[in-house]
Amino acid sequence: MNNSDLKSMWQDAHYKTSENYFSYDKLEEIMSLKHGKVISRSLLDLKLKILLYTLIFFIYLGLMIYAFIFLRLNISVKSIVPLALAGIFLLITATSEFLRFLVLTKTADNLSLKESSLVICKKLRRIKTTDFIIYIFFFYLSAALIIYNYLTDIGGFKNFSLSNEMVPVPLLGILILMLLSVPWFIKYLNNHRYKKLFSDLMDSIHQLND
Amino acid sequence: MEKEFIELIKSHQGILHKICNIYFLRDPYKEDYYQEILIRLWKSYPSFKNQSAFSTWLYRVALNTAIDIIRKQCLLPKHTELSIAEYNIAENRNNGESDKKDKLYLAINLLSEMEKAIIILYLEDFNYKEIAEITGISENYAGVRINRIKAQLIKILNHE
Repeated sequence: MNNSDLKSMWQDAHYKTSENYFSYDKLEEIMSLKHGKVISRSLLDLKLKILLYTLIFFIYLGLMIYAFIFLRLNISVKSIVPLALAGIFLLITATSEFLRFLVLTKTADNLSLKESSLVICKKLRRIKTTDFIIYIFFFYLSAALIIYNYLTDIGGFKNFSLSNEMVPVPLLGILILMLLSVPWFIKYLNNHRYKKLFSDLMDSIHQLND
Repeated sequence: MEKEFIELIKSHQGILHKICNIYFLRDPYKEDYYQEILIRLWKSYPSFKNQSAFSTWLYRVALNTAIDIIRKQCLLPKHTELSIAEYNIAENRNNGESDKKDKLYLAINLLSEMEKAIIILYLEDFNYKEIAEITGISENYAGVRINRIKAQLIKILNHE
């Protein structure tokens, strides 16, 4: 087989056969859709997950505000830590699904293949960085608020006790350390999660570089 | 605009089938991805300004979409399992394909996503300038890449 055989083989394979996946009367119907059936179903699943996690997170947040601000509930740090962890978990789950949705819906179809890969890569990096900055802002602010509350003893923070015997400095310390490390942990998870997508993009860019 | 687009798609439908066959060979969701490409072509259509041939624009958007779908498949939640009927439809379609066509597609399937894009453009008789425009590489490099991919394909086909 030589070079010219390739083209003739390709032409033979196509000009002698024709296939139709659907009637072209359905074209208008298809054009009115946002996505193809499978992708649409997958994105809907994702949207439902985001909605569910966000809803649970806001219910949780509402309950916390109601309990600590309106009812002025005074509970031990021992009880606050698991509550805070539950909140962190819900927030991370909701935002990571939202991030996945953003990544899946970013496109750049009108550009050349090389430019498209570069633009998508840039967009994804921006999404990841924004996500990281939001986490840093939220969790570092939370940690700063806890330290401030402890130092100024707002709401008798220093009187929180474990079995009414000791000052909860180690537990608070662990909680603060966890809050400070969450953004970095998420960054690691995201890097791991989108590793294949980024390596595919980089591979495409590399292959198209002269 | 809608009617104009439908007419253009009808006259270029073969291109979409070829792209789907190259990127989603043996994929039971090939028809769905075909629909997705059509939808994204329609969404991008307002940006088509007749600066290039319609087929050049069509290839650019369709190839970008096909590659994008493949790249993001790992992030999509698992698809619902295929029903036996759907699976049989997918299988039967493949059984009906000619040997020659199958052999060529299987060989192309071994290439990377970008190599597939370059070779389909070459096989469809696009010149180096057009290939460079669609892929974003220089004309000279397009020639180099095409020769390498052709050699690779011939090697695969001769070994089968």
